[in-house]
Amino acid sequence: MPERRIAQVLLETDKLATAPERRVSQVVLEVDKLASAPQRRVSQVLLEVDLDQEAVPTVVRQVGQVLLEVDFETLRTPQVDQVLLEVDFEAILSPQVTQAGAEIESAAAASRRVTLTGAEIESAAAASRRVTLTGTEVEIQDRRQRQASFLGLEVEIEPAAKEPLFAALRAVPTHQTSALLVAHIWKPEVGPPYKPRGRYLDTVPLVESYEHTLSADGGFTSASFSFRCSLSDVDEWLDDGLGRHVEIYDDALQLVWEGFVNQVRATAAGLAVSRGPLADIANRVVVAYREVELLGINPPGMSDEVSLTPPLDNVESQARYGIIGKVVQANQVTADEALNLAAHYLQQYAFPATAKELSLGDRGQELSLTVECLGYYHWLGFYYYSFTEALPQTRPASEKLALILDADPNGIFSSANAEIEENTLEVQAYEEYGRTAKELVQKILELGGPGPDYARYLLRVGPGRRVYYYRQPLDIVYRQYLSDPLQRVQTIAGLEVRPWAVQPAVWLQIPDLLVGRVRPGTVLERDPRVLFVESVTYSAPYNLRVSSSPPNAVARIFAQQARSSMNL
Amino acid sequence: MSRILMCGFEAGSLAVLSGYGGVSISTTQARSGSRSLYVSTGGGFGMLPLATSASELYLRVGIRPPIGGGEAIVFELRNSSNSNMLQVGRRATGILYYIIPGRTTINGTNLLPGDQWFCVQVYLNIASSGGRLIAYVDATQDVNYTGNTQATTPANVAYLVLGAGMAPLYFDDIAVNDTTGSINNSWPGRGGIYAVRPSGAGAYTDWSVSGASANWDAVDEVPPSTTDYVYTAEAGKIDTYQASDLSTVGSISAVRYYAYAQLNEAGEAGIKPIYYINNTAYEGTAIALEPSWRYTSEIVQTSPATGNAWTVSEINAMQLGVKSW
Repeated sequence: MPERRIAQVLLETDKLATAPERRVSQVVLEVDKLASAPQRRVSQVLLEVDLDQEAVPTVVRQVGQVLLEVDFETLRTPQVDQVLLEVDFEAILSPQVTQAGAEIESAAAASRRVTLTGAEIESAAAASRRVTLTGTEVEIQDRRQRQASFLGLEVEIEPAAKEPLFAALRAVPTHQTSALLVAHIWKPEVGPPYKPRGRYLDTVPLVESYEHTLSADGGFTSASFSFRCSLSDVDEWLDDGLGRHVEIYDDALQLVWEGFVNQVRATAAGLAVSRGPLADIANRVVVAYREVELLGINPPGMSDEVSLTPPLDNVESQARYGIIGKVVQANQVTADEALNLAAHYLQQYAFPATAKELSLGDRGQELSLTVECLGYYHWLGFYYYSFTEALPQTRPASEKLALILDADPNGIFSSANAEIEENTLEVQAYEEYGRTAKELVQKILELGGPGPDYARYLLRVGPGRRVYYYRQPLDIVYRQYLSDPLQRVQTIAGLEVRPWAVQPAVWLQIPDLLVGRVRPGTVLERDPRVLFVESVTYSAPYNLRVSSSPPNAVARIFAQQARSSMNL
Repeated sequence: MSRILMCGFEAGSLAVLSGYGGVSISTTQARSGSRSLYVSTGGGFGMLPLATSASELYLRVGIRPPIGGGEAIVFELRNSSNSNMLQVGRRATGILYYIIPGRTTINGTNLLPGDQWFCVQVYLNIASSGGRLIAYVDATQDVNYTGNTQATTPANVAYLVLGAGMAPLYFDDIAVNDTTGSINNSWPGRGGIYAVRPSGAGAYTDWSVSGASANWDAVDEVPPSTTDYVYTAEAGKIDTYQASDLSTVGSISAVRYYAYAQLNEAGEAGIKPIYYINNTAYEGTAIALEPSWRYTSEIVQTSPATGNAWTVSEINAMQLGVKSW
């Protein structure tokens, strides 16, 4: 423990107005003759405080002894009227005078001053020429507070299943980076909420083969890629590859495609093994049925009402892959038979299927993996939306879409992570019979917007699973010239768009088609030189297929006229 | 020493940095735990001092670069004279580059696309000949250089500067090991840093409380609020608190204790960290307090109860605390 000392003591007397402050390491007040000696002056004061030096400091300190000696040798008057002893307690660790003895006039707690009158000095000094204050008369209390407003730990944890630091080198060769796509792969955290980017696993250069499809309705639709690998890679991908999150980037670090692994196929030494597809898994099963009424009817009749069994869950499968729901349609069964069907369906489809084909005699193939992926739009097909209240009977299409997204039990989709443009077309609010969110979204898309223009609306699931629902744009974004030997797609400003970066849901113009034969001012939908890009399929390295569709407002009008008889 | 720097920004305050500008604490992005350092503007930086300078060290930095962003510095190592000893940046093509000022520039081979976390580990042995610079991006080696790695003198690293170029950019899970001691004297690995903070009353409640109804409730805010705090003017008093559990399993490399504390006036007094394990209060290193709020901390690499590596179950059962001196 630190030694606690007084670093400053100041003695003031009313006789010595000009006496300077002194830092005192010793206080000596010597009195030659108290009463008879003329012209006495206090020249030095020493205050010695003997603090308890305990191993562990306590709150209250006892001053062992305060010794005050006054040197009256040079006093001009025979009696000191008053001695004011001022102690700078700041220099003591944490002092506070809380009690004073008889010789100490003030409590000193406030003033931090000890005042002795001359008479007391005189009387005390008469015998000993010393004024001694014993320790019990002075207490010094530690008044300094330690204050803490926050405590916490940071703990560094090495994941139990971490990869070895010096894993096999899979760096991208520098000479290939300018034309190479790479796939970044994560193991999702299933949640809920489902977090696709749970734990980063690997980066795979896509040098063998790669293909993806993007669609105006859906966004990232599908992708597949193959790569050579080791036997341990085959084991790992077959065992744990389904559901992995995949992002494809180009050499400019732009996201090309995003989705999840739906199926894995491996070929090794004549054996072809596939696992999946993930979309065939069912770990929450409901059976929709029309109940057979057995009693009192011969032959048995069938109820008009569709009944649903309670959902049956396989939590082990859900913890591994997320919640994947299926509604199994069954007609003319009893309630018990429906429940039995649900249990068997769950048992059979809770985990992915594995298919094997052995082809011996041929020359063994190299080990390779083909990873087939789907965009997260397909997760809309993994859950069901219902609204069984009487009111409202209808609601705007965009409002219903938001509710459908918020019903996702996995938390992949939500209206908070969506940009939904208002569509005031009123659609039926009631939903009961277990149609998937994907089916309902497709119905909403088929309806389009209200008259008189019956505009088409598009929905795509973009990067970060963000959902975009918006009216079909009417701007030309791309151009392609039939006369271009390189068959490049360009922006309207003339910049080349690399084939893997071409997007759907935009208008593409072929300026050198029917030159001079299209009347100026022709509306976009009727211009034969313009096509709406419905989907694009890119195959590495430079192949691109663009599909288009003609405008079809009539189909939307029919759909809206028929919706009163449908469930929308 | 072994672990000479560790910071996951889980305290939620920039006060854990020794200097900063153009940065903030992010709660929307984290490589692990729930917080990271966000560099919002180009040139924004956060500086972390090493507990002791080192001429040979292993560094881990979790970084989340932006999509695009051009070519810019990502982080720097500086010596005790604040001179750059190593600069690490990302080129527009997405690869890292490593500059030993005045000596060499080396390009990495891994692509670092934007908007995702990467774990960058660097081994630097500063020497005018035979020095080494090895770096990994996640599990893949990025550079392996042997030669003059001494940019200037003094030949040591004393500060880690996060940012100073690229933005927007996130950092998390900072760790630096030197080569002394028997543990944490090599690669930090790809672990993450998680927070444990008070969640209930513990075995000791010797301190007084101001601004809150319970002692633990006064010291659990992230970031810290000084409108409530615990205090004592007496030495030898202990306060302990039940603490939140770690939800992640794995092996524990090190633990850093934080207390945001002050003296109400100048003087010589302070606190000791308390780790209350199996009904025993183990004291940490005495830390002097200043008459202004600031973080005090210590890195504890092994359990004071066993002398072995911390375990998750041990930390989950432990009470956090503080003792006055």
